[in-house]
Amino acid sequence: MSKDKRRYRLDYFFSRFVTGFGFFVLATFATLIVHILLNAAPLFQSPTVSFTGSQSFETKMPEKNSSVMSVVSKFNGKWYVIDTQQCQVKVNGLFHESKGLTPIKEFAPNCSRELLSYASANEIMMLRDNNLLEVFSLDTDSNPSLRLDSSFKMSNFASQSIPALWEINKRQSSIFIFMPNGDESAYVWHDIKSLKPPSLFKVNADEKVLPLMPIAHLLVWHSSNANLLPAGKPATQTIEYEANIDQMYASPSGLDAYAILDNQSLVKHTVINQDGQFALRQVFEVPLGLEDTKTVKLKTDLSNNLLILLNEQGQLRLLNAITGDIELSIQVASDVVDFNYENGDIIIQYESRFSQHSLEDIQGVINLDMLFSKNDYSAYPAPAYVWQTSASSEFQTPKFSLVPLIIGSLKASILALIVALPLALGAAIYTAYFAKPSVRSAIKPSIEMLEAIPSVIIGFIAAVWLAPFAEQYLISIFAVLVLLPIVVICIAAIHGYLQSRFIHTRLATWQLPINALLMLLAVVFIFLLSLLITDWSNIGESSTIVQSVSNLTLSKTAIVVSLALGVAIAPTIYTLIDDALYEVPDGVKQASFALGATPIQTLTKVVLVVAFPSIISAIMLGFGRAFGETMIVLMVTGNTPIADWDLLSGLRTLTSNLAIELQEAQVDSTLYHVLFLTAAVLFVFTFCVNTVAAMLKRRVYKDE
Amino acid sequence: MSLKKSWAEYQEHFKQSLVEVLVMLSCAIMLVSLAAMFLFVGGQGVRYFLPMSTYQVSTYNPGSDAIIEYRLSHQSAQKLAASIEQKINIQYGDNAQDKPQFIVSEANHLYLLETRNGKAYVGEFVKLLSDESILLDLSELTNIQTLVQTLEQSLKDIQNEKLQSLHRDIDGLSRRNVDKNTPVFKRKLDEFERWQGYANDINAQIQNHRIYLELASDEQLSIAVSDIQALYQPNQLTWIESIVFMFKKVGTFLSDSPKQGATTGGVFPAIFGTLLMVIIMAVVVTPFGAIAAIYLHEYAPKNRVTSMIRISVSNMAAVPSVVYGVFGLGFFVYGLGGSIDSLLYSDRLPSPTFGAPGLLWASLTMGILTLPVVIVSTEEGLRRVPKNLRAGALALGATKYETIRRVVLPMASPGILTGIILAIARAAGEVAPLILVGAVKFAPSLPIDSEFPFMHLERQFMHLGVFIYDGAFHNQTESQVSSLMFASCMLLLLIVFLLNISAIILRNSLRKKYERL
Repeated sequence: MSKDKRRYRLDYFFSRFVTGFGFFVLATFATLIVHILLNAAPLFQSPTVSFTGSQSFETKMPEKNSSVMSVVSKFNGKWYVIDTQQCQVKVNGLFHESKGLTPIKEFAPNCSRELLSYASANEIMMLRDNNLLEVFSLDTDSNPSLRLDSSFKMSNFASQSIPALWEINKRQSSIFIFMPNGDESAYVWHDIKSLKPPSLFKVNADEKVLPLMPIAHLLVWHSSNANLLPAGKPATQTIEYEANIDQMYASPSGLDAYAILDNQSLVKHTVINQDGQFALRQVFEVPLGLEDTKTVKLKTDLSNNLLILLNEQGQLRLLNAITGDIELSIQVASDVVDFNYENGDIIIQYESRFSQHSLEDIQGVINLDMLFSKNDYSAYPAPAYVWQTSASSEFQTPKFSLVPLIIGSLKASILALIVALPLALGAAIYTAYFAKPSVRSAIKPSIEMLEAIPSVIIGFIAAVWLAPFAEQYLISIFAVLVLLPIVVICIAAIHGYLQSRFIHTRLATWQLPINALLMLLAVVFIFLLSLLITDWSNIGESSTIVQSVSNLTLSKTAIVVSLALGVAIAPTIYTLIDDALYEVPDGVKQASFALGATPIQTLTKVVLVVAFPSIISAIMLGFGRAFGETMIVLMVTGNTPIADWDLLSGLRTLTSNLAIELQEAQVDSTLYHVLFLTAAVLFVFTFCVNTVAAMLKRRVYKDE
Repeated sequence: MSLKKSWAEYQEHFKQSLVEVLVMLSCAIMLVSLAAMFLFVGGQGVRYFLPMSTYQVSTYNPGSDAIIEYRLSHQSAQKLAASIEQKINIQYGDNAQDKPQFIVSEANHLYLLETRNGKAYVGEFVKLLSDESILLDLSELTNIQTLVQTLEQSLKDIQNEKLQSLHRDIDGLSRRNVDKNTPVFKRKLDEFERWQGYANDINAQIQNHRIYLELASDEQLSIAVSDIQALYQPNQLTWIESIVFMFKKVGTFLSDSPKQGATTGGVFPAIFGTLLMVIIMAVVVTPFGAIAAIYLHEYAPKNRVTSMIRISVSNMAAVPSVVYGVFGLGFFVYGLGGSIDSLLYSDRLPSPTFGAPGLLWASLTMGILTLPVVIVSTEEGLRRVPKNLRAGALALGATKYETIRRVVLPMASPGILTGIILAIARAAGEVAPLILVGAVKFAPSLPIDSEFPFMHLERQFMHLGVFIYDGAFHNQTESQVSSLMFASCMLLLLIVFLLNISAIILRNSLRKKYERL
């Protein structure tokens, strides 16, 4: 009795155990979906500024006189306040909320004149009283140090004026200094490497100058006009704004210029190349909805497509740098002196304290609109679909348009389907309808073997052999394709004759090899003949058609991909169609024959019609497989994300893009989330295709 | 009238032939492409194992001396000459008078020397130098090689037994800040120096056994005997020697690691990595897949949840493989691996241990990818077990568990096996997810070695498919791709095919078995 009890208990436990595993499958699938969707989700949130993690540093600000400036910079994840005052450079850290400013180091380079200045991040400029201008850079490792970068004599420097703005571009080794002065302002544009003294250019007192360093141009602006010009030369372009310019800013790349008009609206211009000359093109103008107070600063975050703007009232605006949409507008404490932004962290400087905030969900700046429609990127002549994420320098904006990738995927898979469908359908009709069962049982496993070939091998062969081959023997391949219909008709005639004579002999079993051999011979013959002809005569150089054909570059284009991908997916489609055709009940066929229909009529009017939903389902599944195939497209195409349908251009698909870029994407970066979104797109697409295909197939069973 | 009818008949007849020929040809194209792929990969891959012949190519530039080159080639002299001619024609084009003349001749006296690190030199044999005496006879080489081997063995012994422990002692002493002048320290240092001196002597002795070859540029090349992998005259191999050579080459291919930028050597690390990944994957996926299939076929009630499970399985089979890679990277590597790191290896952070792509995560990812394969195959096996057997067992009083355990599973086991084989074949050929979760083109060390804990599942590993992908991705034309790549292709193709064929045979035998019941 107790033994039976144990047996029943075991039985019960086993059924629970097995059920658990059944649900495990469901859980795995759910985890797969949820994980991918969760990682794509941050793109759909809008950015927020978190105040919870914000820190406020109460400090007593150092006494300031007119020539003292301080800058807040972030190095190695920490904020530093760099004060330059009376020939002294003081580096203070903002580490602990309670302690306020922590002195780190002081530098006192030799100088006797109180004229010091700072540059944006970690460069310090100093003007000695002997008119020697020195540029230092501040290394803030564990032990901060000041290093002299360059120095040059400013022989004709206006000694009274104090630099208001200066910028240095190390790649072009040029330096720009703007000095406003009572009646006449001036600016310096100087090549650091040249031995000549820096040249000084004068502008009117009411004019201000903004350098666009990378293109070696300047924007000279006053009231509502801005002139674009190379240093010291006449203006090449004048921009008329609709209102008074309060302030102008350039992005670190120097390719965008932002103007704030009447403290009310923001206008973005971008640099384009117009017939060999730089020109500015307006991208957007947005109303900011601010009170009429002075704007403190505009900061750009190119790697996140973000603009941050703050006015003295403490009104903060986050804008999408490409579309100009206001992503977030909030109010912080008023009487703002200055602020700085570094990679998601904002530090705001007030009279006697700093407050630090962090920006959450920056990825939300990238919205669906930016992913799927044309965007007006800087330095592009017109809005375009661009996928370019390799932001090698911080001055480049990553461009996340999924359209080139989707077009690439669709292009490759549709072309592959065009190649695969006739092959698969023809082969399936042959094995399921015409061929004898013995022939079918020999052919079907062979074609299924083709399905088992790893795609990396098909890709390998296509990359190292097919692409160069197609490139080299283009004319011959063209000739074969043109003459193929004639060959097929000839073989059909021979086949018809042979069949009428030998239908009852053993020869009938060898129809396929005979025809295949005939075609192979014909193709090889045409191929060699065309080779000989192009070799002997100079057709290749005289005939325009042949010439235009041979000028095509096939390697790494959509055509080669479609061939390789077509061969890879054809067996999948074949197997499904073959099963579908074979499942058509014999009775239906017999009835058709009994009514006097020919085999062809039975095929087209009965068998194909009955199996039609299954054929469509097979085609959809094949399309899904081509859409999700990675290795072949990765190896055969040049992986260029181009948004056009040209058959002779390269492409990059969603799948190969994942294989290329995901490894390098930083966790939780915008790129990481965008890539997960593309994975979700792939997932959803195959899910839909699979579901529709399954529904179509089920319809057939219901009909029966 | 009759003529018209026969014309219509003829038309109909021709139409049918045309359709038949068209469908036949599309079938033929697929079969031919299958065969072509096999022949191409096989033909190119086999070349890697064949001995090459040495040729002397003398080029006469107009107005200057002849330049002599030694070439290694699989081709015959005529074909080699033709390919050189073609290259020259492309290079010089119409510039006929500057075109150099050249003669290709078989150079039977030349030796091919393959070094241990995969380099190959062709040249004339000059002399064999042993210690201080010059031995001109090559037949002495084997003797010298045995001598060098014993020397190398004793060098290794000294290094392993003496130097290593002494080094450890000295390291310990200096870490404890023991003064260098203390007698213990001094003695250890002296001893270390003495043994180091012995080792240097032996090493010098090994290096003194050298072989000299004269290269085509009249340069004399001297190579230590210890560096020689093989030395032979390729043109004078008898056919038995050629076969032995081929077997040896197959041996190196299967047991050596790739050398010289993956142009020579073997693919052992890739085979080993693939094998280990597949084994771990199979161990994980088999119980899950098989038991889930038992649930679906034997236990699952016909309700909405079950159909949801079925939809999950069919969709998991259709999800693009790269999506599994994305999931594996996000969920296993960064998610699970990251939390393991912060829990157990927090002292090593920020450099990740399990939070980076590696063997374990790759195996788990492939396990999820192949789960539907195992489930579908097992269910197929279960479906083939006749219903009345189950009914019989239950009628005899067996519980459901006992029925499944004693009756159903033994009969369905070939189905499970088929599933595992297909899963392995799939995992062996899959590349896209693996490049995301841990397979690399070159891994410095195997995932299993003598270092504790012997099995390093967090390490990156080499995979045959990834190896091929990388080879093709970085050399874009046929001539640049080394024949090692083709040989690896051939191996992968062979593995996948054998696995698939065995799965088909197993399945067919299963079907036949139950047709009788």
